[in-house]
Amino acid sequence: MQIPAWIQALFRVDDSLLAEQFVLTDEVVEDSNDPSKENPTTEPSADAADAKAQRAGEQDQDRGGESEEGSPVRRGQQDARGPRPVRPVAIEDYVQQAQREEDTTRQPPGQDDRLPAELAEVKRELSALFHLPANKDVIVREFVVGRGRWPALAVFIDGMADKMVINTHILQPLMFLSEVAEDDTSRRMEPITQALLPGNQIQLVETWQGVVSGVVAGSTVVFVDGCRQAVVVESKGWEHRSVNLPRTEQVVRGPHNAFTESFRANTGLVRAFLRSERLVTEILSVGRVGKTDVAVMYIEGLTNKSLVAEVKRRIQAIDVDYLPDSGLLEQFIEDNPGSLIPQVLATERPDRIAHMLSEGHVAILVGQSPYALAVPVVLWTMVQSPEDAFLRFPFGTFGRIIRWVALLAAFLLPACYVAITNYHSEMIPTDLMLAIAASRERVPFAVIMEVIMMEFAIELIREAGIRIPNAVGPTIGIVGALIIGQAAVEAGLVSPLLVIVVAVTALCSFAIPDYGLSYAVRILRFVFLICAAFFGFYAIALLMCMLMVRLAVMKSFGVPLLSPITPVTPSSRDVWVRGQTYSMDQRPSYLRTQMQQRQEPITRPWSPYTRKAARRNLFRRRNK
Amino acid sequence: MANSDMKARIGTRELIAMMTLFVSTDTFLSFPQHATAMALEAAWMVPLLAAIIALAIFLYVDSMLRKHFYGMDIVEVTVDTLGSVAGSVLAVIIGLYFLLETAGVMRQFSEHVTTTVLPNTPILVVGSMYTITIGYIAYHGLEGICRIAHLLMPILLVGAIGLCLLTAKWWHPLMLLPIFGAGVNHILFAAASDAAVFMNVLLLCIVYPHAHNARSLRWVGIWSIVVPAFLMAGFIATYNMVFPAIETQLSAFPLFQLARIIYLGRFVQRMESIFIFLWVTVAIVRMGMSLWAAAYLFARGLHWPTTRPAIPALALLCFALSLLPADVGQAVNLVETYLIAWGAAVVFGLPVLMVTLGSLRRRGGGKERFGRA
Repeated sequence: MQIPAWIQALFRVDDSLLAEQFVLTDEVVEDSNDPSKENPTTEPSADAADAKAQRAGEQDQDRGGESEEGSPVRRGQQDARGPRPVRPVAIEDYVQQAQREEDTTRQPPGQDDRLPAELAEVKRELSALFHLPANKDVIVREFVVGRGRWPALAVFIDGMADKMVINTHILQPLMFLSEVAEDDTSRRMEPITQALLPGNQIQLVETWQGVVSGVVAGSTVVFVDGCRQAVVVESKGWEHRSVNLPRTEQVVRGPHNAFTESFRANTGLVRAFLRSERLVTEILSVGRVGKTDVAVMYIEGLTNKSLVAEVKRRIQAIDVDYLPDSGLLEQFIEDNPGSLIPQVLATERPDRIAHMLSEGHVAILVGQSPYALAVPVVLWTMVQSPEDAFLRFPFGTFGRIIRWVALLAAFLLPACYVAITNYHSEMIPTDLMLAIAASRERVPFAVIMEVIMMEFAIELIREAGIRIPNAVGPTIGIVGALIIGQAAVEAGLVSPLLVIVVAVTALCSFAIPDYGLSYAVRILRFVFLICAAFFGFYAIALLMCMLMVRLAVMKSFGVPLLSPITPVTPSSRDVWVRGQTYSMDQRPSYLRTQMQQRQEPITRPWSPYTRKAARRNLFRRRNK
Repeated sequence: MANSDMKARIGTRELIAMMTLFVSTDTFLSFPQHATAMALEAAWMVPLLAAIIALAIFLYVDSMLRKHFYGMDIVEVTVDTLGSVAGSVLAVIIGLYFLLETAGVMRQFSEHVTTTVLPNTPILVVGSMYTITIGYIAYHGLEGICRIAHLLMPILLVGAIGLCLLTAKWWHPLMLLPIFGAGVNHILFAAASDAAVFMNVLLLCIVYPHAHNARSLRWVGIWSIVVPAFLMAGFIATYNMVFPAIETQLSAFPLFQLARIIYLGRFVQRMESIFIFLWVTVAIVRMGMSLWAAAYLFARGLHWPTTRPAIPALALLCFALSLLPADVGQAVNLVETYLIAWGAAVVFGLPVLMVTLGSLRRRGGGKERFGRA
């Protein structure tokens, strides 16, 4: 009887499927931190070549069985897993495999090694460094300088370097517009850098470190045969978002540009706002696998020197593979990383950074991050908006008062609602109390359950709202509002008054200008809520005391977080309310700047009113 | 001692705020009741006269310290005068006093919470919450306590003055007559026996080296005696204008009673719950400070390298001691008899004795010695 093929296929065991499956753990040893065990991903020891050859033999044995000898340990492990199928390898595959192994055994030059003079050697070491030809991003363009006299090559990364710059400012002048005489080969770079390369930023390097740094930063590196130097020509030109509107710190009046994903554009934006020859930008490099530029900006002669040194010390102490964003740097350098309250100000506004620099803060810009950091920071700064300064002082003050009320409400409103309804109902006017009781009559849950459900729903909408595509955002918003607002009330799950409480709380939390502080408030609100459910105002008061004492001893780069309110330090009126701009002549003294005076005490000499007020302030200050 | 508390430096305003809060707490405890019981309608004079006594003693101690022991606290003065053993004994005695005082205040406030805010909650739970909080606050050291006091100072002033003004509708000034109440001799006796509520005199002798500016300490002392004295006098006068003296001497918690009668229309009434924030936060600062002072003095006296590890144990000890009295009446009686009436011996007697003895032994040279050190 002939068995159909499809039935045969059902019962056939094809172990080739299993053999072809990729299993990562076969290649990685159990404990990569144990130096006694071999790690196939690194070859730090001097016996690397031997180890590689040994492993190659084992791989051959595993794959093709050509190598009969292998490590007894590996053989033991293999035995424990059972015998592996031995399959023949096609000759093309075998050749490619041998080529790959040859490539991997080729050692890249050390970063501190000097550049070789021969172009062939340069090419070989470039291939080892940038993993060519597998790495298709790195382009090595060979050409000759001066109508066929000097062999040369240019290296750049496709996508990071500006092709127009390379074509018109590097290759074209060197290949077509140059006429060079045969000379001492070691001095070939002189005419190239002095006369032939029109790039506005060039740098001669003599080690591979300089070459690698230049290439991965988007520059083009030119080698010339016979020279032990290379020239790094600035040709950065990767795609990035143009300077755009701020997304989280919008203002009605004031500048409307924000940082973008371009390091140099960001430093330039700050400098455009603060045009000072004393504004210093020091660039540090963080990361081992991938380097990230970190700019430390400060004003020489104004910013406290020990503050600058401390910022640099903390940044230089970071030892990571890769630092992608300022948010990560913040966690590495802040004083209390475990605290909910942020101790570093993150802003996307260059004007705010410029203003803070002029006050004596230090600004930190990280790689392609569109957020800059300012240190040190005090709690009050996080409740201020840049617009406070751009508006007249009564308006700025009003805005601040609104935000302080919003902050308190965002913290405490749901907790107070729970405490009042559960423990202190006597303080509610009778009519209101009856209304609350009537509205809660149908609700089958305790107040705390109601509040937590609603708060969770609000948090859900907020979290989902970040990821909802713009096209469906308004629709989802309406659906969310309907579900939370109307349907939940009509279903008798929550009381109408609670919807108002939760909605006001959500509005208040959106009024907090600092995103980090807003997050802290959101989390702490739940803590207060639970405490209030158990012990009413008593627990809220105790928790407030604990929170306040924690804040009172916290520091940001040596500055108490509650300065200048406590500890009391002299400062212009710019904490709870916004002072008059013309009378704010003092920098915050907690920054210990080299220049305490910001402007002259009498800035409106033609005005008798402000002149008198300025004199009064001066007199008061002297008496202190 | 390699403790950050030993190096803490406190600004003048923070110290004034902390001392003011420390003393003013008695306004919300049994002090108004005790003063009224002794002086009847003239009870409001008691804190003023007590403040004068405290001020005179403080100025004497301060001038002696400035003259002979500049920059030294009371323990250092004792060590300098009578030797290290005497210094240790004095530190432990004062530390015990602060410990008992913390326990007394904790019991009274715990009873207030259970009788007014959380009647169904066991005092064990209320007291343990106080214990955890004051332990946490004391753990953060003198700087933390003084800074939180500075933040809470406006709340105290606005709350206390607001409370007095909101009851204006019920004021009957005639209830303050006769002006001398139970008689001048009763008033003077009450002032003398209650003067120990101005415990800041003793506290200032302890935190003397921690002041940012030791010269400003005189002003700290003056302000922190004068402001609470007027606050207490105003509060007691208001209390006695609202309730007759014969009744107020029976009330254990005057603040609650006053807040309860506030009625400014149907929307502003029964405000006692709002004032929970006032008296709970002030009580926390008071107990946190006295617990820290106890730990600090024990560390000084017993030569501990640091205070922090002792704070949880001392907080627990305070809690245990606070539960020893059988009821609130016994607790109040113990506090009034031993910690306030006889406590004057510790609060005023020890500092005066030590600086007098020390100044007699060392005539002059305090500043020079400090300068050399």
